[in-house]
Amino acid sequence: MPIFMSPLAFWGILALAAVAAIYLFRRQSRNIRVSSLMFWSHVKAPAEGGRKITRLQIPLVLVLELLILALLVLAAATPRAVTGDQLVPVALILDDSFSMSAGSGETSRSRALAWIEKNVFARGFVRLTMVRAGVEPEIIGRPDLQTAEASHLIGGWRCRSSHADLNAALRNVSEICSPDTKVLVITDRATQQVLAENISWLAFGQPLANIAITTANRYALGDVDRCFFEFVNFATSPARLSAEIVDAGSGSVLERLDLELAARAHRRVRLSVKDTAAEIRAVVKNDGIAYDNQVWLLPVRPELVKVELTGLSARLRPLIERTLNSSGLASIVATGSHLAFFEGAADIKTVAGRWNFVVHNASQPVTVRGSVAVDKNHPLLGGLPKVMAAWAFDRSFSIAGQPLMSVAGVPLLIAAEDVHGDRNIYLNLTADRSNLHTTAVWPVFFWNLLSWRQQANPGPTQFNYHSGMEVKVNLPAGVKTLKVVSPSGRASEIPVWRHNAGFTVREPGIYSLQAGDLSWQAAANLNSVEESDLTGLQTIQPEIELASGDASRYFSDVRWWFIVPALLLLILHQWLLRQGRPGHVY
Amino acid sequence: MQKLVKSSIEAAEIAGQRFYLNVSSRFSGLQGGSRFGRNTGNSLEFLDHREYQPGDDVRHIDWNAMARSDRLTVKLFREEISPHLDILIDASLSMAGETLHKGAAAMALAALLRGAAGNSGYTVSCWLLKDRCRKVEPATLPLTQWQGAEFDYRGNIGETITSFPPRLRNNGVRILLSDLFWNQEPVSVLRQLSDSAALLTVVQVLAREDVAPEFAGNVRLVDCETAEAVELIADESLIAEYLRNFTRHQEYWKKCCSKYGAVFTHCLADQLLDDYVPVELLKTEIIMTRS
Repeated sequence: MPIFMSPLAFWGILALAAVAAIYLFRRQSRNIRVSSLMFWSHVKAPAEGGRKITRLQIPLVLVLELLILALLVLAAATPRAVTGDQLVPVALILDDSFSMSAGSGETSRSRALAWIEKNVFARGFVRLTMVRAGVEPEIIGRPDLQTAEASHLIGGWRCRSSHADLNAALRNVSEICSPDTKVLVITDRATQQVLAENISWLAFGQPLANIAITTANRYALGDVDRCFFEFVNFATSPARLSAEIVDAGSGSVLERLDLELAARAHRRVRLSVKDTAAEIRAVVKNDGIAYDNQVWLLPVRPELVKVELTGLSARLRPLIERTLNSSGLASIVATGSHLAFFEGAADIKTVAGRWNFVVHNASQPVTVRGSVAVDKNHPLLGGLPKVMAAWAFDRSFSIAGQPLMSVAGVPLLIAAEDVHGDRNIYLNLTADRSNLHTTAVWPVFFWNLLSWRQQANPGPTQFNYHSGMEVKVNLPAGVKTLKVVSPSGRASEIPVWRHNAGFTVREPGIYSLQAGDLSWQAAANLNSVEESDLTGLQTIQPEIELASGDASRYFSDVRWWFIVPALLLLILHQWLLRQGRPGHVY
Repeated sequence: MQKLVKSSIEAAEIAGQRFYLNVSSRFSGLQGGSRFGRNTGNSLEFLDHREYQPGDDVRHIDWNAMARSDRLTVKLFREEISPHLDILIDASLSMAGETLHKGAAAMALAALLRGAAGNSGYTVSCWLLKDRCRKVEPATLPLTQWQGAEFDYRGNIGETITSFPPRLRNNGVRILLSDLFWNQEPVSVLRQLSDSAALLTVVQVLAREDVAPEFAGNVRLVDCETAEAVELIADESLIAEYLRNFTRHQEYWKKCCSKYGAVFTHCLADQLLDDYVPVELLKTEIIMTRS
């Protein structure tokens, strides 16, 4: 399909009308008075059914002349077309965020699709690269699609992302596409960025009023869980908020809201939930934009770390046991523990999946009081206060592993990992000659230890996420894949690498995770002010000519497409005229 | 009366002096008159002798000749006739046509025939055929002064003749001037006009466009009498079809005229108005040129 570089030439179409008018004028029936119609009566023979039918007669010469003129007008409009295999490259960056799907009936996405259909897919001379701009850019199909393929694949643009990183998508396009690629950013908001010449920013949004839940949090506080919700009226006028916070398991309403919210005002709700195993759900009941009307909060308390203390002496055991109990993260067991304590490396009995903590008691320790080098980036030592204690240790202690604390080149704390991923932690401390356990370092250290071990337990590292966050799941040895079922029911399998699997939650709702016999749930909530505040949506649709600028080099002059047929028709026209006889009607 | 018609009449009246009507032999001698016919009759003008034949009037036996020759001989006398011409002029709108040539030609022909008849000692009556057959009174009134001589009648002249026949004189010569463009069975018309006629002559007055239509392309033909119209694309085949229809019509009239002993001829209006010589009438010897 050619494009026309001189569209003003289409005014020449008027010449067609003029020629047709002249013909019609010339061919208009002349009134001729005759003495009688009795000898012409045979032409009035009624057609079957009693209707008189006069066959429309268009002179062939007129048709030819109109065709010739039309072809010449098209030629005058300087047609250019892509004649080789090299099509004009165009990249579509499609905002995949939820706000594109907001609205009842017509949405930004539907308007954008209609525009793309008309202005991009209808152009047969382009090859398309479509990038879905979500939390991370993602190519739809493959680069350089034909328009027919792209038209089919664009259905994969569903606008289910909590955030659209358009800049990342632009960077992605600049990496995978040639510099002369025409880039069209399809979104619903304006931009303040200074854009390169080949980038066109198109917005198809329209301001909408929306009531949304922008925050949902749950955390453990003693025996109860605390939940926090924030409801916001994103509108320029007051609106009624009707919402409920329910215990999803029992169906009981924990709190009901029915109030007037001023324009752009918020309402925060805090509540304590005694049933720490309950799933809590909040629902806005009177808002048309559904994707931010519901949040889910799953229980946040992880499994306690099972600790075995049988390897400790009666002198050290009470000290550590008291510390562990006070953390609230551990339970003391006799067997089947996650973490076992020993005195002396020789006592260690390796069990798969169990971590070992060894307190190395020296017979002739050296005591220091002073500066201890600490690797604070390690999970064991995060948040650790300055060590201001007398620390008795074995100067000759040495074992393979990563030293995390040391003094004068002697390791005080070593972490080592075996081939199965289980860890052995060595503490070079003679407790009865030290006062470390009387300082703040002691409980913080053990809380870090338990927390670290807890995070290594099978299951997600946390249970409530914002859309777009990555869910990390620890998995036991031997598990190859993690099966994930999204809230919409789509199942996928995530490969496991080093006992870990990770995936990004994109749609709000409850995800089901399964690995072998183990199963968990993870909640994803939108919680995005940017996607919920739709008052700033805009429409920007500049005139875009995909064949202009650098793209014009893909086109060649195809005037001959029209001139050659015009010449052939002209010859036919002349031949017909020469064949004509007086009184013969063409 | 239109200028063309008036000027045509005046020219035809002058031209008519060159001709005379040549139909005396067709009159029977049953009635007296001021003219001698070509047959034998009851006048006092002696013509010849011949032998008696059964059926001859015994009063005409020449007894002197019988006495001299002892043979029955009868005297023959010339026929005494009173010739009369009825000119019937179709005054329908179709005679006016697009150019009025036909009407002018018909009036010119009437003037010319009246002059020719006068030259032959005929009395002449003229009839204008419209919704009724109206006799022009007085008979000697110049054609240019005729009342109601406009060609404006939109009806069927054939119906007028058959429904309201003119009271024509017996044994007279009758000449019908018409384009015959009406849907009426010729037989009924001819039967009416030829009844008790010495001679009936039908002169079809035609315009050039009737004989050879010269148009092509998109045309809207309007019947000048009924105003009925038909749109068509005139091409060679259509013109040929028209001519076939026209000729068929004309041939049928000829055939019917032949059946009733009438003479059928035609006159091209444009040609007559050029030189006022009725060529076709001369060919049929209805009129002759005076020596």
